[in-house]
Amino acid sequence: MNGTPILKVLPYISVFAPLIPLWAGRANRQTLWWYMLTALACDMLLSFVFRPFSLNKDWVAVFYITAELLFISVYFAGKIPAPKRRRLLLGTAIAAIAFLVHALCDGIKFHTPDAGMIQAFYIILALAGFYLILKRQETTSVETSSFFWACVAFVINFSGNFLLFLFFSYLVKEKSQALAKLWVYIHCSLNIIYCVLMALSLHLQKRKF
Amino acid sequence: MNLETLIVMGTLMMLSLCGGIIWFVILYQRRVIRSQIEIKKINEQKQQELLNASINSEEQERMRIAAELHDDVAPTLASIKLYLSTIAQQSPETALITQSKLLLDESLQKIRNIAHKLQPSTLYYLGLQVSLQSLADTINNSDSMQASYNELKPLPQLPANTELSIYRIVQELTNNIIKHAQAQKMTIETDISADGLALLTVSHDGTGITQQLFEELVYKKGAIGLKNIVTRLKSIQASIQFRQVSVSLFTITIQAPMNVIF
Repeated sequence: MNGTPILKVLPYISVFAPLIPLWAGRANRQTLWWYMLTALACDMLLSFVFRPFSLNKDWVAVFYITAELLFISVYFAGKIPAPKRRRLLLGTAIAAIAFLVHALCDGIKFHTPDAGMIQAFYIILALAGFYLILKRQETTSVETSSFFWACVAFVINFSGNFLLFLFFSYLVKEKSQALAKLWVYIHCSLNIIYCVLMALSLHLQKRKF
Repeated sequence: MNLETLIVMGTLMMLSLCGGIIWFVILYQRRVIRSQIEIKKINEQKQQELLNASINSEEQERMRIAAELHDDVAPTLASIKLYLSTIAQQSPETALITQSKLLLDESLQKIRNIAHKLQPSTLYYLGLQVSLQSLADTINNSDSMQASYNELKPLPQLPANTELSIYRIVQELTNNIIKHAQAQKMTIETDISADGLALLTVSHDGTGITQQLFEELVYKKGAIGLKNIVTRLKSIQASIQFRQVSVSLFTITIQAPMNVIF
């Protein structure tokens, strides 16, 4: 890093960004809220425990990607019709097992291309979400729908991070300086946007109480 | 071109594509909403037209029956009465002839009343206020209860369909009050609300119904009168409110726009 303030500040903002959706959805703690709580806990563990003490942070990453896969799948399963729901959950379970087996086969290793592939799956889910929204033909404006903003958040975050994760392994070996910059500019910025959009989605969810 | 640039460009392209998709979803949904609203409007318009057509045909049928009664049955009965009088002049009047003449008088009066109810000529020629006054007078004359009409603010001449619908609704309400409420007093009032709506209030001191009960009764089997009230209200885009003001005071308020034309 060349030490510009933005490169130093953005990662910290990104770590604490899940606090916004957690606050926005505090009255209605559903799947996405718990997902954001997991994201905050994992990011804080990585940033303030594992990285400063140079511990093996791969297992946190593996845990986070698996948890993310389950949370997002459960969230989408609640939005789609029953017969397709079973297929989605079955596919998710297979993907989670495959990812875990691959991560565990040489100790615990976080394979970023795997994460990239899972992100492609989320992009497909988000596009399916848009299709569902259009198919329902509701008369209320789409901007007032919590599901719409969740899909927007998924599609922006995961399509923005897709290439970065796909080439992460190569960059970390060959161009670690460039990766650090790309990580902050692309991943951290998108994570902040993602959290803001998630906050909007959680805010628009129907309240339980 | 190095890999970092390619990743940045690729990411920007993917984000642009996502932006395009999101934009498309928003625009498409707006188009769907617009078309749904248009379809809803057309359906409502069609329903309104059907409603108006059915009310119109019902009114025409009433007018036809009233005309038949007034112009055909009543003169026939009058002729019979005349023949009976002639018979009575030729031979000494028996009790049977006198009785028949009395029954004929009664029948003629009933036919006139029915014809008047079916086709309120005062409404056509003198307007709503005079008709309501006449309705109150008729109830008063029947000795069933004390009825009065108050004009708090003079209503302007309303469209014919509005006046007719309001009159029919009041007719139905007063009939119901006479039949079911066991009221001693009834007042009919017309007024204009602050937001320019025609207000008509029927109040009585009998056993009335509340809005909740009215809504329950409307959906029950039978209750044709109440259903007719709802239909007529819909046709002039008016609303009705049943209230219990105190233990022995019930009011029914109709709010109708003053510019609805069929």
